[in-house]
Amino acid sequence: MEELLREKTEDTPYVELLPSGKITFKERSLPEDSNSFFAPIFDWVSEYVKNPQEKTEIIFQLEYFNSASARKFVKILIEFEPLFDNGKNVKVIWLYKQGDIVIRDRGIEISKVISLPFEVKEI
Amino acid sequence: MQKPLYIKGTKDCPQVTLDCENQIFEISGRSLPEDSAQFYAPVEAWLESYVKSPNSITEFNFRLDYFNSSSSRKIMSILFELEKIAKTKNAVKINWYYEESDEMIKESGEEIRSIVKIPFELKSYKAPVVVKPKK
Amino acid sequence: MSPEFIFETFLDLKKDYLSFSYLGNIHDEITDMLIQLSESNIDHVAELSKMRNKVSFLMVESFQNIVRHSGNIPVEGNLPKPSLFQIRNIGATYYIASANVIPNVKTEMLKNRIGRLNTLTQEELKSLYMEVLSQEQDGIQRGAGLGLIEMARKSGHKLECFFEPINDEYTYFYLQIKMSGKKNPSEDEINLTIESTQQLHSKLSGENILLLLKGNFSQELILPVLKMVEENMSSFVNVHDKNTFFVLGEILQNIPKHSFVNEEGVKEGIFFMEKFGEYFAITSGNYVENHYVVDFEEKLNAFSKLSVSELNSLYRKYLREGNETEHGGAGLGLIDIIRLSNCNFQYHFQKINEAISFFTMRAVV
Repeated sequence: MEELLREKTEDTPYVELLPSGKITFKERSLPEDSNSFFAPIFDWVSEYVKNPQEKTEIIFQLEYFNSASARKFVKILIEFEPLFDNGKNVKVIWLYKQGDIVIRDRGIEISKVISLPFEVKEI
Repeated sequence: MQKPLYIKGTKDCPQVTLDCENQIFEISGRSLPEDSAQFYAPVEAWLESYVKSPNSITEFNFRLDYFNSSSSRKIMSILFELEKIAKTKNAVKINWYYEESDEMIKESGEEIRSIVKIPFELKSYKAPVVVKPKK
Repeated sequence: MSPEFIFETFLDLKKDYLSFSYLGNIHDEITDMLIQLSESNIDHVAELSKMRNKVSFLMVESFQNIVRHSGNIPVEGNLPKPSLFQIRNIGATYYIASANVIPNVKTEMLKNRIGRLNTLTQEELKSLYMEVLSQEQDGIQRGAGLGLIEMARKSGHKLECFFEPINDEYTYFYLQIKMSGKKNPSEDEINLTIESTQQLHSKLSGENILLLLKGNFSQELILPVLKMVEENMSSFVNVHDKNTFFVLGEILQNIPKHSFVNEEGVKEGIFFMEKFGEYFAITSGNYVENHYVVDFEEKLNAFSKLSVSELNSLYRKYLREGNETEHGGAGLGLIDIIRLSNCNFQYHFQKINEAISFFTMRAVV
């Protein structure tokens, strides 16, 4: 399995999907067409979960994301729930900039709809 | 030898490299600062000291995409400074680059050339093709 | 701001392919965004894309001219109207206008200088420019009038100015630059007078509008506006600012998502950001196709009956389960807008003809 990397642009996030089990989304996500931006990410994730690592870490470090992206992030996280149910170590780490309680609360909101260990942390 | 001066370009200020040792003298990018006096002060100070003991050959490159009228004054003051080298036994030459379809930068180059008294060459280049993703 | 005002302003700007007005504290940080904004919209007319650089140049000069002159003026709060910066593109013509406060003593000088520049031919303007440029030392005033000379030269039209007295000390100085892509100015679709610009300024200022954008709503148009607003924020972690930014993003991106695409392939829309006491009101207006107004209206009607906590639960439900319609989007954006506005949200549909309606929405945040 190969890694998937996307440099950040003005409206799409930095994406790093590593076969070693480290998945990262950073910066801003407000693509004009979220379906086409996230399609390769979903392909990668569905491939990964077939043959996952013992430990998977999903890291979000976002500054801004629109509602369409929020839905995509949740959909991605849902893909990992069966792994956790099957005893794999899966963890979501939601990072927010010091004082950015709007992003913190958006993380907490997402954690409420996801059944995965979810850590919200200030950096 | 004089220490080099590097200024990293920003969205509205140009990139500046003034380096005697490697013989690079260049201003490139956009020059749109509202307060051009402030931005160009270190450049002018550097040149003022440089012209007192310049390299035997100085080729100075301008590769600008845009510049506002207050920058054009500063460009002139840089050129007037460089004219001082031309009065010595040392050589100085200006290369003014413009993207081949950029009439405005070309025209400004022609105008400036007619004012200053140093060898001044206009050089066109082809912009690298940027493929913009279109949906 | 009433739905009527929104639609009326939209119709006033009917012919504008791009119309952008910025009222408020003019500072240098947004220069780059202005270039991006005008460039995002310049390629639709061949004659215009040729003068892309000139338009950007004139925009920067005009904008910085305001920054330069807004040194010793009273604070914005004491003024009947904030400063204005405006770009309008109609057909192959670009209008760049500015209004700022100057001390009365400068009025005569500016009037004379512009008057004199307007009598010069292109050749004479060029020699004047060369003459000023070849003077070795800077004039006493920064720029020494080079900006105005360049504006007159590059525009190829007469500079238009207008002075509106404020009181014994100050005057509004309006300056309008026209650029036409057409060889023959009589081919221009419309001739915008500086008086009409002054009227629009007063009208927008009367509604406390900070930002007005009318155009073809695409991502290229939206991103510079978002950046511009961000640059004006005290910090990108401040709660109120950030929530405003979330509403702004959703409302702006909502326009192209639902907008009717007209025969030119344009998603025509209008957007306002206005100061509303300590809050901001964010408003959008665009055409939608009638056949999906019913669905849309039903959804909005249902959402706006809910309390914030009910909206929060619904948001979470859709976040998890999705509710994607054929048009994409789960309604999450609308829920987000309404809950962030604390239910201070209005919408309106006005039927235009058998095919389309004009949809407006407004959220206070």
